[in-house]
Amino acid sequence: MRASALAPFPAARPRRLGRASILVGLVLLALAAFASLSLGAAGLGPAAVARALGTALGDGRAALDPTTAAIVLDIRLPRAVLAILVGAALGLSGAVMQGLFRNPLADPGLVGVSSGAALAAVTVIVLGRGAEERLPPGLGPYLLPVAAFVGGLAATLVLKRLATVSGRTSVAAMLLVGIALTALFGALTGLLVFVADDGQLRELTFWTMGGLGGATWVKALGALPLMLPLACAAPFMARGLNAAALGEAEAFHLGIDVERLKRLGVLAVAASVGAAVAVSGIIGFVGLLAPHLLRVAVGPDHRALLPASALLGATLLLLADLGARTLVAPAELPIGILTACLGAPVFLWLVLKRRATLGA
Amino acid sequence: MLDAVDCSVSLGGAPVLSGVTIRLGPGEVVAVVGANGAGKSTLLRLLAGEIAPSAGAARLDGRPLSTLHPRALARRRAVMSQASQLAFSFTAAEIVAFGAEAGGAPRRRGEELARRALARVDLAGFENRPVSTLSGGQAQRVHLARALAQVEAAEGDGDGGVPRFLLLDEPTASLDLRHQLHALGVARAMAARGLGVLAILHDLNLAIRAADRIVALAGGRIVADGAPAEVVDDGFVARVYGLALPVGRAPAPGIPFILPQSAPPSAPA
Repeated sequence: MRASALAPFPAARPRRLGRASILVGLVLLALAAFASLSLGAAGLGPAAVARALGTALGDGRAALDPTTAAIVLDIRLPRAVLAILVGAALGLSGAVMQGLFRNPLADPGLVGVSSGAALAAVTVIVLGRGAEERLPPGLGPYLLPVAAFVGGLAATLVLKRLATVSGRTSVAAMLLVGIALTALFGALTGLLVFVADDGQLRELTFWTMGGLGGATWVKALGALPLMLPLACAAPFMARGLNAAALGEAEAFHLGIDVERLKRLGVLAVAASVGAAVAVSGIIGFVGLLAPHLLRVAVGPDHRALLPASALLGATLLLLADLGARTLVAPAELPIGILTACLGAPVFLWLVLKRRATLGA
Repeated sequence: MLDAVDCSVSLGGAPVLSGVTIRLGPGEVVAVVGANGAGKSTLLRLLAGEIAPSAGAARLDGRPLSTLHPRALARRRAVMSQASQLAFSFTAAEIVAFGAEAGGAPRRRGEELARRALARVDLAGFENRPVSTLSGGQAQRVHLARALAQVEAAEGDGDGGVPRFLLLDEPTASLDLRHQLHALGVARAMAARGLGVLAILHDLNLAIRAADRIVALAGGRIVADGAPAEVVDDGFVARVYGLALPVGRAPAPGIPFILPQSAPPSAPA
């Protein structure tokens, strides 16, 4: 059998495509960021924003008209930065989690990790009244992200424990356990929000649908340290996640310390998702959508998939946030509504495609 | 040398291997045969370092496998397991390149090694095919190519004198006759280059033709270990498979052969 005549898949997926996807991702992200900075209720157009950013970079903030400075530097810029951080964290977390669970349906928002993080954050707000003030100065902004990290980690461990039977994580069990955890954590969060009488506690929609409305530099900087471990670990996990696609035993044969990979991955994802939830509530489907679109476009190689998922996640969230604050201006849509509108059909499509094998 | 000394293995509380001693040296092809559930795959996983023995020691050059880092192990031995399930839609070339990179090849050389290894298993031209679109036998050959690329990458590592090992769990399963012979020919060629090859085989005649030594397992114990012409006789078939089958001798080269179609419906174990 001479093979070449029988191989109707000439379209190569060379390394160049991986690099190109990252370049394209960067360009799209820059465009989305600029659009996000230029559009909004205050009616400062692209030209004015570009001028303001240029002046702020060159001559400093003092050279700007105070209103413009406030709108661009204190409102829109931290919000765009937070959207980029949260979107990148969610996109990357989704890609890593799917690699670890060996399944494209594992999204932190769908399997209970985000709701576990939200529950922990709300618990700290309601029960830990004044805890932030009692912390050493400078640590306050980290309290919620760390609490959410612990909640997300606990949820991940429970999920993994309940969905794994004799070393194999069943997809169906994972999704069902995820539904149960999401419902339970959501109910407890709702209960806490309902009984709470605390000025700090925003309304329930923030925790269930997410939002970037309260973005500040302090929040962004508070979330960043917990998002960094995953971003730094990702390049070193890519080869392991590729090998894990063959199975855990095969990954070991290929020289991967599988247990270490799983421990590191679960910890870093929980930290990243926890930080995202602490500052923006539960925003679903970004972690599902970004890696999925990229697997179709550039293939499943995690060396390209991980950085590209972070970039696309950030771009998606910037655009979703742009939509959330402009579609029904001057009111604001919860951002999770928009991400769910985009993500739920894709999720459904993925489920239908694998319906036959889902029980396996 | 890769060896196991007096090893016992229990899986989920049930003893699977008891007191097994086996060695695999450079340049030889060892075929492991035995009935279903005799412990063949467990023996292979033991030698791969995947499971630790509850008693005894599995070693590479005298060092217990459990003390070696997975990465160091991957440069000394490659494993082809039975029917692995692929989670994402990787292409044949990508999968084989994972092997080359595990063997220590840098990325660009890994791609070159992957192309060569795919050609070795008669899959030239299939580089960019998603493995999920291949037939069972073709996918099997992709995984064989992955193991070949892994040991070949390790060969070019610089310390070329260190022997390497290839562990194959049913490399001929779901292959057509032509590719069964082809796969075993590849195994022999690798042994000729100084690799130690261990393969689990179900077809006794293929095992007899391809192997320097046959190791037979029954009930988790090794019941025969030696050159095919010496160990394969009527008693061997009875001990290993519980079948009363006469072993014939092919007239020309004098190698034993078994014709299963002449088997009685049942026989004492």
